[in-house]
Parts: sequence; structure tokens; C-alpha cells
Amino acid sequence: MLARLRGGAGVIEAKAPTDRADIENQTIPTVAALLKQSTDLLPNQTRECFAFLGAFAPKPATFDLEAMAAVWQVEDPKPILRELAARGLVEPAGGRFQMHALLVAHARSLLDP
Amino acid sequence: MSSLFEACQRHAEYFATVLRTANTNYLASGDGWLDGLALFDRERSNIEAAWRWVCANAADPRATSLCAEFPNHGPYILSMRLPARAWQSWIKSAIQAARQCGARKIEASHLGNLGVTHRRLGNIDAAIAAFEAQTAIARELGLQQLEATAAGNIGLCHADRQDFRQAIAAQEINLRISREIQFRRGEAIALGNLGNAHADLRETERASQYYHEQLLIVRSIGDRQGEANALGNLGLLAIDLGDHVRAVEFFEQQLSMCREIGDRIGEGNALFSFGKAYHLAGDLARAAECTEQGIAILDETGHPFANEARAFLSKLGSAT
Repeated sequence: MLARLRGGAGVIEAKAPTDRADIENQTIPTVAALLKQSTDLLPNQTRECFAFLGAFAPKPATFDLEAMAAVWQVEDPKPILRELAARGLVEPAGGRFQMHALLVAHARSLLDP
Repeated sequence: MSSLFEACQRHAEYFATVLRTANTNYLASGDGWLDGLALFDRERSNIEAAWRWVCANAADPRATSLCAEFPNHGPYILSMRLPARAWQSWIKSAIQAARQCGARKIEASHLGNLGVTHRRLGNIDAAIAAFEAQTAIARELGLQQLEATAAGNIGLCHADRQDFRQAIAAQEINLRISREIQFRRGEAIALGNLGNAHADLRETERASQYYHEQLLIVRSIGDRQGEANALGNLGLLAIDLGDHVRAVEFFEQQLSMCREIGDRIGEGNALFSFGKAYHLAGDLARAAECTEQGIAILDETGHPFANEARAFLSKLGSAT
């Protein structure tokens, strides 16, 4: 991802895919494309868990591990959370976690209606 | 990929349980009430987001029962933390969903809360109609605790209209049923309301007996809000008896307890009561100061006592 970004302006200037119409309306298309690039690289289960975070309210709302475990229906959410946090898709916030509104909108867009 | 509906449903179900935990903790004895409030405040934006989704999807059979039940997971905490109009809007949506899925017991429970919000907003006719509808379902389903609570609330509506004899009759029904089913919290509330009605009729000795019985029960069951109410009642009775020093002592305890448990309506009422006590003591400046503080809080909660406090303040203004 970093290499592609360093490699040229192609990604930055890319239009959001046409099937992401909601995202395109709510965010700058290039941001949507960047987010998609980032989440496309995730393993399937992690991407699905990220998508499920689209149910949460964006920051300043925060949530805890238990809430993620409940929504993901996993016993131990830490490994997935670590991966998402490492990619900047979830932010730590005083022992809890939060997501930017753009990321929540992108997560929602990954799910079927 | 899974559906957004499924994600939001899991989220809403989870935060319904969080709301229930907050409410359960709030009602627990000891320091549980503080944990309950802290949990609700920490998760409030998530709980509200869950509720918004549930409401928006209530027509979908997969979300209807969740919508019908959601506010029932936290009636005490929602009543305390949400402004009356917001809480009423939650309840109306839940009643509609309860009717849609034929959940009569839940509907009856919401009707009571609907009545409480109408009364808090000063709509007494609408409040009585809601409590009577609740009574009808409670009798039909044999739900005695709900029937007792509805009788108590109808009594409060009569008291709002200064019809204290009818208020006493309704509270006696509340007291009788609460004692029959050993519903201690309800018994304490009935005793407090009986005390209020007798105090309004200037039957101070009877009122005092009821308040002291109330105080004993709320302390024995660790009901801090009930204790604050009982202390406030005893303070107001001391004012009726012309004892402003004793009244201030009771209001200080009431105010401190209301602040501890985050009871904003109680806090506003206590400050308004301080205004009355200082008025009795002849300290009009202090009386006005406390009443203004009480009005600010009561306005914030949308409580009709704000108007009563405002009328009292203007009386103070014309006296100076």
C-alpha cells in the first residue's frame, strides 16, 4: 500500500468505484479509493470484522473490546483488533476504541444492505 | 459479505444488554447505582445509536420485538438521564412496536412510562388516559405490581389537580396492592404520596407518620432516590410547620444525595425547596438565588415544577 502511494499519484487521484455510490456522495472520491485499497489488503475475516464496525457510532463515540466481541461473535477480539489498529482503521482512545466517520461509512459500504 | 442489517442488529442487541446492566446496577443496593450511571454515561452514544437503528427498522419483523423491548431494559436510568420529550419519543415508538407484535405486557409497561412523561410535561389528561389504559391491561393479565404503580400514578395526577381526596383514594389502592405482593419500593412510594396528599390538606401529623414510614423502608432497601424524596418531603413538611432550620437540614441531605446519584430533577426540586425555606426565614436574596438555580435545572429537564418555581420567584421579586 505504502509502495503504491509512493509510486505515484494514480491512487490519490483515483475515482471511487461506481458501485460505491454512497461513499462517493459522502466522502471525497480519492479518500474512498484509498480506504478501499487499504481494506482490500486485509484477510477476509479481518475485512468482515472491519465491515461490522460500520454498525458503531463514529467518534467522539467510543466502544470497548466486549462490544466488538459481541458484534463480531468471537471470544477473543484482540488479534483482529490489533491488526485493524496497526493499519489505522481503529484508533485507541483511553482504554477504549473509536473510528473516524469516514471509516465507519466505508465499513458500512462493505456490507450488503 | 454479511449484511449491514445483521451487523446493526448484533450491535443493537448488545447495547440493549448494556442498558439493562446499567439499569440493574443502578437499582442495586450499595454503590451499584453509581456504576449504573457511569456505565450508561460511558455507553450513551452507543445505546442511542442502537436505538436509532432499532426505531428506523421497527417495521422489519426481525427488529420489531427488539424495538418493543428496548426502553424496558433501562426504564429507571432512561427516566433519569433523558429529557422528558426524548424519553416519550422512545416510548411511543416502543408502544407501536409492542402492538405490532402483540406484546401486551410490554405495552402495559410502556403505557405507564408514557403517562409519566405526559405528567412530567404537564399533560395531565393524557397522563391519566395512559395510566388507565395501563390499568386495563394490567388487570386483564393479572399484573398486580403494574396495577399498583398505575393507581399511584393516577393519584399523582389527581394531586396535580389539587384533588387530594381522590389522590388519597388512589394511593391507598397503590399501598394495599404493594403490601399484598410485598413490593417494598412501591409501598414506600405510596407512603410518600399519601404523606404529600395529607400535607396538602394540612393534616401534618398524618403526613409526618407516612413520611417516616417511607424513610424507614427506602433506607432498608437501599433506595437512594427514594431516600432523597423522603428527605425532601420531610423538609417541606417542616416548612408547613414553620420550622425553617429543620427544613434546611432536610434539604441539605436531599440535595447532597440527589447530586451523588445524578438525579437532576431531584436536585432542581431541592434547590427550589431551599428557596421556600429561606423565604420562610426572611432571607429573600438567598431564597431568590436558590430558586433561580432550581429553575435552571428544572428547565433543563423539562419538568413542569419549573413554572411553579418561576411563579414563586416572581412572588419573591414583588416582596423585595
